[in-house]
Amino acid sequence: MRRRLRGLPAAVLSSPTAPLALLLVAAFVVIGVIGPGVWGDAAVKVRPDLAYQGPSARALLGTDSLGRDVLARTLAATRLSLLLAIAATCVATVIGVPAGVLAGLAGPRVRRWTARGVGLALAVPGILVALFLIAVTGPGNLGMVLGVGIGISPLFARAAQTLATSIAELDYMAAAKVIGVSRRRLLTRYVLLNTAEPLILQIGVGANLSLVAVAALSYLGVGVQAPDYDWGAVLHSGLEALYTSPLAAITPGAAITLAGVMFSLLGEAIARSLNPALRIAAGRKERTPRGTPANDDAPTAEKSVEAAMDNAPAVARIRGLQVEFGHGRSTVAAVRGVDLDIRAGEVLGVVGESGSGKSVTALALAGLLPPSARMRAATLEFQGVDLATAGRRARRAALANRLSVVFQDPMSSLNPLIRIGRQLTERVRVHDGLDRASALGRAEERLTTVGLSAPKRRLRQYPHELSGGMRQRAMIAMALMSDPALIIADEPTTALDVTIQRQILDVLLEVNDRSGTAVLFISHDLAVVGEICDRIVVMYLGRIVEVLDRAMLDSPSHPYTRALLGAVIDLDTDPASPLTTISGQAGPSDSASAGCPFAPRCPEAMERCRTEMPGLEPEAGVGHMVACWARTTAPIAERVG
Amino acid sequence: MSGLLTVDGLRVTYPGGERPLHAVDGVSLHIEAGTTLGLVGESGSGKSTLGRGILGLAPVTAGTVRLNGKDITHATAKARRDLCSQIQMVFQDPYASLNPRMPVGKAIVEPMAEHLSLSNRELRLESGRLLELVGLSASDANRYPFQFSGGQRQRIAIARALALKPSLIIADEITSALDVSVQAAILNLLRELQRETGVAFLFISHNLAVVRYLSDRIAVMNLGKIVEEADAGRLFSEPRHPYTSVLIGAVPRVHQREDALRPLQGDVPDPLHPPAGCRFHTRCPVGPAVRSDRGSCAVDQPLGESGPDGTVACHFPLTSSGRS
Repeated sequence: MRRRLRGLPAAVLSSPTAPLALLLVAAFVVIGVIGPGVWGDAAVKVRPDLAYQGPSARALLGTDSLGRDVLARTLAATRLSLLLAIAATCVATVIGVPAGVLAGLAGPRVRRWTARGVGLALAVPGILVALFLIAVTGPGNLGMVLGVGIGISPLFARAAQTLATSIAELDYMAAAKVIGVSRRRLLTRYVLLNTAEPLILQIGVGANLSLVAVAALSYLGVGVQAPDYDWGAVLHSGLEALYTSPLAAITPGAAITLAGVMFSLLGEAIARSLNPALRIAAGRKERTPRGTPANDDAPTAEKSVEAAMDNAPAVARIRGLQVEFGHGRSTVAAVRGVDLDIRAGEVLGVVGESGSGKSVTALALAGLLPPSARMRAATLEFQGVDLATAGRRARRAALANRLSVVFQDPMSSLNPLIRIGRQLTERVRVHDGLDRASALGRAEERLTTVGLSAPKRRLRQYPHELSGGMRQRAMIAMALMSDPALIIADEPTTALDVTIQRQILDVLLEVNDRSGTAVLFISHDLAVVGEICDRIVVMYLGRIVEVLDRAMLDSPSHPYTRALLGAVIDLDTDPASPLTTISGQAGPSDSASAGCPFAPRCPEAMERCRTEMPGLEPEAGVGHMVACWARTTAPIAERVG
Repeated sequence: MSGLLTVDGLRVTYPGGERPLHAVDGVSLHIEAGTTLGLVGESGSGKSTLGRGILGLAPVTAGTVRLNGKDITHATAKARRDLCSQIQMVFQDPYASLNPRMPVGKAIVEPMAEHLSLSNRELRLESGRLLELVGLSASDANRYPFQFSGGQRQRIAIARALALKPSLIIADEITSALDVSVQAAILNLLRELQRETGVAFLFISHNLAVVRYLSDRIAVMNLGKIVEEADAGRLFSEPRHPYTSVLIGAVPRVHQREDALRPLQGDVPDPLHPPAGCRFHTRCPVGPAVRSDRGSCAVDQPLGESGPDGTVACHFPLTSSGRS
């Protein structure tokens, strides 16, 4: 509880508009409290001889039709205006929010009918409802507040219903039911807490609407009745001489506007303070990362890398790749100096856990990094074209036809509104200038290659008509359309069933076998990678820690690879013994230290591992490289020389 | 038969526009106290729906669920609340199954706060104890779910499920969203917890290797029906149902071995229109599509035949030599 109190003011203040909101709230509260006492007398002093005077020392902003001080009247009316708006908002909240939440959580039939009812109610202007109620109750504050509140309530009901429905289906609601959380707590601790943020924003907007509606009714003369007055009434007595002495109307108008701004900003600030993520981020002291990924931990000795890579021509050459996300102090380095060759015709696996930078490395090569990423590379070469230095046009030309990407989720990477045939043929028609018939012919052939039945029919279908496995086949067919030199497959089977995974892996291998297309296969699953890849690259926190042939997967060198292998569960795992696990967890603090990123979790870590970064050095086996001080034990001087 | 949980002929039906979907279609299974039953199947097999049906989170239209001999199939909301101390569930997505607005210490002891009358101090002690039980620290209690990694969140969800000392936990794909190294730690944790507390698990997963590692017995589900149920060791060494064999053959392994049965090309059939006869016959590598003498598979629905070492629903079960 104390923690919450400490974080809350900080979070409110962390909003960029918060100082303005607080200033406005403070000003309105003070004026509202002291207003009638201080300016009340001046506000009602009638001096017909001084009607519609300009600004003077006696009345700073002039006078109205009865010679009353406009500024004093506006200030004195603050209390009543705000109280009426707040009361109307409360009425709307009390009616709208519970109705909406209950409707949102009810069964589908009740939900449908209330949605229709609310939709209908939304079509009726709130001010009409208020006028109708006032006609029944007679002019006065009570009728107005009720009327405006009821008039605005459908807005709140709609918002609450949408929000409640959206979380009713979530797992934590089901989990709460399993735990046996009572209905009341379910409503308060789950539904209301998780919808509070957008709801309060909505209530801020609603308060704004109430304020204007109340002012409008008073202006029309059916709201606040003399001798009381609010901003609407002040506006009324100032408006008839708008052209000769505009201040009499502008002053209350400005007050209404400012109060509206205050309500909106206040809603925003309160909503913000309810979000634990923002609250904790604000409460935490700014922390500077210990070492920034700068040029000093530059690419590892290039010579040894070149020596270890054998002479097969490379489709892609990556040297010293670094990618960062975020800005300023919250910068996260995703890739921290990667050197990698992808050889023509090979199936190269990249394994690593989430956060290892395996996907980011591939996306950097494909030119698909999101705009928030910043990339540096000594060399980023694809088929002899250096993408790091090439112009936009040359880069696109180099990639467009020869590099394809297959993503994890085939549903979100196919456009749901376009037929399969058109999606497959688009690229070759634009880049290779193929006519429609021959492009479709090639598409049909590629669909056959990936084992999709009835390819002619598929071309005319939309993505949703295919199953997950069929969509992933279609994606691979699309990747094959332009005879690529390299297919990047980023977790292409993770979302699929095992039997379908098997088929997709077979398709990839067959494509590789038949047309010599290199495949960069990215996966967190060492078992899958071990099964289909010739060579395997193991990444940890943005760095390559080991490169090895499949045959060497039995006896990897790096402690991380060995731990990863030990954690793999396959059908040869002994059920009787506990699984190998890696102690601790990978975190940004590990990656910020000067030493080996795996050292904090490594069972073999030595003193040197914590202070000095090991480079990727050749090991005994062919093409085997490892970045580990425990393996590369030769003295530094010897290796440099 | 005694035992902890007995499900008999359970059917879960979702009303649909075109026709109702029997996501679970006449399933029977049995879990002994303190043991783990693995439930495997591909997506659309109904394995998750079965788990939810047992808890009353899915519309059960036929069959019974008995817990310690007591029928709980259509327990009232009030009776369900009392059941909470006996059956709990852990969900697949640890990012979705925790209330984002509740500190985890509070979330873990929420079931206790609901069901037992404990003081705040006692609740705080309990939350610390449970956090330490699942390998976290008592000082984590004041943090919110977003401050934890996926694996840590799954530990928190497990701690919450353990709070009322249930006799059965239904674990629905709880490691499939996690990295392999994290998955290994969670599986070790489940084993330890079973040894320490004697809790039984219904462990639902599409990953055969994981299910094999954790389970005493395994049930294989295909399109709403259980096709084979057996002791874990036997199921893998001598699968009787061709579908079981196909699933085993599809599991990727670091060290490759001889080929098991491969399924015929094609996708899992639409559960809304399951094939007639045996629901696997369209993809069966030893079925009517390959062997002309096995036309009966496409017509007659095989019934589960119980033997001394399990149940298999196949007209031509594989023999111990591996081929039928």
